[in-house]
Amino acid sequence: MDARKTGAQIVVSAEGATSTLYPDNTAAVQECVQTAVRDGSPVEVVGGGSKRFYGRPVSASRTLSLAKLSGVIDYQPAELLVVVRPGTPLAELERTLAESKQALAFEPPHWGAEATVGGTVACNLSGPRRVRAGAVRDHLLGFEVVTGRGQIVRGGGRVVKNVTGYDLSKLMSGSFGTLGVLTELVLKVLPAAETERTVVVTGLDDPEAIALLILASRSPHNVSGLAHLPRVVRAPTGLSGVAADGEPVTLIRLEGPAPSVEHRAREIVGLTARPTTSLEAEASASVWSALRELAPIAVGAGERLWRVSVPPTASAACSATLSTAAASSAAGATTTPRAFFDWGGGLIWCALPASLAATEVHRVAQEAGGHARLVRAADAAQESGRDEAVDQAFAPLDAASRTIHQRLKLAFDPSGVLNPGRMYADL
Amino acid sequence: MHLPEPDPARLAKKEAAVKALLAVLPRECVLHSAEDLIAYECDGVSAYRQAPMAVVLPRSTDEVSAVMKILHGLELPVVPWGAGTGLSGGALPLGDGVTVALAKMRRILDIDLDNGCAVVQPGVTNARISQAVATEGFYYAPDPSSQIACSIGGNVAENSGGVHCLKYGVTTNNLLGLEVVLADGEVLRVGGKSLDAPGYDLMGLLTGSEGLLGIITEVTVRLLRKPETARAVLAVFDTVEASGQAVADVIAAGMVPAGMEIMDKLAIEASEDYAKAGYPVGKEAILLIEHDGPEVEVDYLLQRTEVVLRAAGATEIRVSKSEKERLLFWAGRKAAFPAMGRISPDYYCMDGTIPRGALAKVLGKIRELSGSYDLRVANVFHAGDGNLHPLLLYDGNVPGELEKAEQMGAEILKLCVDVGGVLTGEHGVGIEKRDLMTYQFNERDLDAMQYVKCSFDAESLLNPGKMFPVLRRCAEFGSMHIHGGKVPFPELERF
Ligand SMILES: Cc1cc2nc3c(=O)[nH]c(=O)nc-3n(C[C@H](O)[C@H](O)[C@H](O)COP(=O)(O)OP(=O)(O)OC[C@H]3O[C@@H](n4cnc5c(N)ncnc54)[C@H](O)[C@@H]3O)c2cc1C
Repeated sequence: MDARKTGAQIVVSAEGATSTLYPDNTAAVQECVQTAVRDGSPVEVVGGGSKRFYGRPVSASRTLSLAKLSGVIDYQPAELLVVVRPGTPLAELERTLAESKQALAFEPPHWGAEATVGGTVACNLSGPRRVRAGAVRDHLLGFEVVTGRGQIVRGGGRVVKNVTGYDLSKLMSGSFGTLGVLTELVLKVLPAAETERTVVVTGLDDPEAIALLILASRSPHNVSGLAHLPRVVRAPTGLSGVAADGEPVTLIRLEGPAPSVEHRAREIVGLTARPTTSLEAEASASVWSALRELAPIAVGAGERLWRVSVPPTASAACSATLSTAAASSAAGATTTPRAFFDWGGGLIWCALPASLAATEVHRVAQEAGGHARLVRAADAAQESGRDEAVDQAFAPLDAASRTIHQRLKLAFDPSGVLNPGRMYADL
Repeated sequence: MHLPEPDPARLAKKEAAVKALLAVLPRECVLHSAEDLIAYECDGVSAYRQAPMAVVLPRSTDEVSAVMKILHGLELPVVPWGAGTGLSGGALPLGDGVTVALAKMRRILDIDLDNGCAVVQPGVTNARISQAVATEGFYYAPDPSSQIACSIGGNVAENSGGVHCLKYGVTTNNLLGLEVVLADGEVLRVGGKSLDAPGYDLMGLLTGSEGLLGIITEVTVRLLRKPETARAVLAVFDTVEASGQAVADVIAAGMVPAGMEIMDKLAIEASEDYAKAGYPVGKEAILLIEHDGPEVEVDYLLQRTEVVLRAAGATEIRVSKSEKERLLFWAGRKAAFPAMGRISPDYYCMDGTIPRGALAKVLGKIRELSGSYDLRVANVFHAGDGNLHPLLLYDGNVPGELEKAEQMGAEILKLCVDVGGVLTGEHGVGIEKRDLMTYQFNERDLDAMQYVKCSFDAESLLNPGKMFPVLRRCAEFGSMHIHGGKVPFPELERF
């Protein structure tokens, strides 16, 4: 490809063996994909690159960066929607929405200042409020994409209620750029909560804490955050005033108009016999943003970070099983397996030693009625080569599901030029 | 609407099909005599009728799978049938196809309140799920007006909405897992009791797939705790446009009520006559708003809502003072469709969605169309999310009136697309809006949808003739065969 094509506005920058393409409009993206198809040379699709470590690595000689395909195209607060280009920094979009007292209800983790909206959608990455407000996939109303066939396709629409044809927005969310390059996104936005408060309970062990979280999620009090940080996890700094060092902390968030938050927080406090404290407004917000950004777990050398999604009732036991398995896999290990719980127990974030085989993690998660995903491979292993676990970053699919995945991939990207291997070896 | 001509080669297989089906199902589960088939001639769109070749009523996933294997072997098309309340002709039978009705699969398999879900068979009615958990204070949020009759399988297939979906979402936002039987009889399970699943979001694709991708045989729904209280406001306006502006104002004030519904003069009149809800007959429009949550929150929101409504020009505001009164406010709205029967021999219900801001323009145009077609229109809509339900009143016994209503309906839907909206907000494309799909989507957009179809049902045996104006043969998209679980990377198709 030419070093610089002004017509299609594709800037190419070469660093060593790989070159990066920076298209800044849909036609240019299309040209990049068509070239990739013609040359039989796959591309790695990236937004800001903040989640590049998440999933399987892509072997491609070219990177297709959406960083320059950026900006809000249309924001209509009254219609509760925003149309953005994929390379728009997440932080920038959130600031824009905040000016109109609105927000992305799914509270996306950033995992770095470079996080883009497109990457967030491609990873379907949702934060603590997912329990109440839904995931990214529940907020993607429509999109424009360049498929692996190099064709521009629009799906969904600009309205909340839409059942016209298949719901392709769902397919795009969480497909990790393996089916198409998203070039435009229509997202549902919602009014930001007027205020928030977090009820903090200390000293519970995992089963006790999960039981309390389940009680809270079963209550009519519309909780919007349910997390538990066991003793082995670092408490985010925002909690230093309310919990002693090293003490387990259980957090329950309430959001809404002040009188309602006040009332519901009182009811939540009534669910436990333990003493409670609370975090107000900004203090509460900063703790949840720390959780969202995984501050409680610093992954050390020789460790992998996993996210395990399970039914809440299975989570305490699942975490314990993983921890035992980890200990027996690494006799004399220097690291302690560490985990914390979000989504009322429905999501376990855990740092496990690389000695614990990925297949084992998947098996335990599956037996608990859920699935595991490798978020970050072990650094040490990366130095000495590749961490074998990345091959199984995503939970194995059963035969029926796998066939459909393969057919979808073949249909949308028949020559396999988009992020080959990002999710599974054959997708 | 032109219904497909039955294919004689397929019709000739009837005897063989019935025989094979009777080998795996008892007699009462295989209907094939003309009188037994009458009940399945049409769904909620009674203007289109056609008897199927046969109807089967499997009682388990295994039976569905066995049935699908037989029909797949015979290359006979299959039309899934839930409760037949669909409003787009999605379950309209094929004269040369077999209808697979899920009515006998109506068990609630598991209620798991700690994990906030229930696992149910597809034939369970929407309302029964909520009833089953009501004493525990839970419910299943999506509440289509047809909820006492429609099946959860049908809800999933149509991605149905309800009056409370503004705050709680539609079907797709309230599911955790599905089990489906594919066209070849294979069983696919997606999701479960956790909040997400590995791989592509196949559950999202299957939801709203209108019976074209698989037969839904089990559904894991999310259950929510019932709000402590709910109260409704009924506000009266001098024009429908003013009521529409009030909706925008409520949202601009940062509120997302549980529901916001508008009814126009004709709809008010008809409902009042039918449901006696105390609606202000003769007024141009009413706006119903419901807030739910803890009492303090509802009080707070109601106060703010009243201020907004007054500023928006409401001439009268009633706030429900008891649960009985709240239900009465809704009774009129929920009866809006059946009430049309009182004022017109037939009605045709449209379902486009528009950006809220385009309401005034679209209503004005609908009024014009009503004049030029000389058909009365009653307007009922889910105003919070811009989902319109213009009801076109006609008399099917007058030659040409149905066609006139169809034509006018198509113009309204095109108008919805023109202002940035979509053809259908919750009723589905079915056979009814199939030919309008090209108005909203270009050929490549539709191709992408067909990639999905081909990935699930390459021979197009599931509900053919619905959703797609022209179904292209999957082979046109290039080889999608998987050999021994391995993907070949064929040359790129040139088109
Ligand atoms: C008076 C009235 C009010 C209504 N109000 C609303 C409303 O408020 N909101 C709304 O969204 N809809 C409404 N509807 C439309 C209708 O009730 C919904 O679309 C409902 O979900 C259809 O369910 P059903 O079981 O009757 O499905 P059917 O009509 O039997 O089938 C609908 C479609 O789903 C497919 N299907 C059914 N079951 C399965 C299955 N198990 N697996 C695969 N495919 C299947 C069929 O092939 C067909 O394409 C209303 C209808 C009426 C008559």
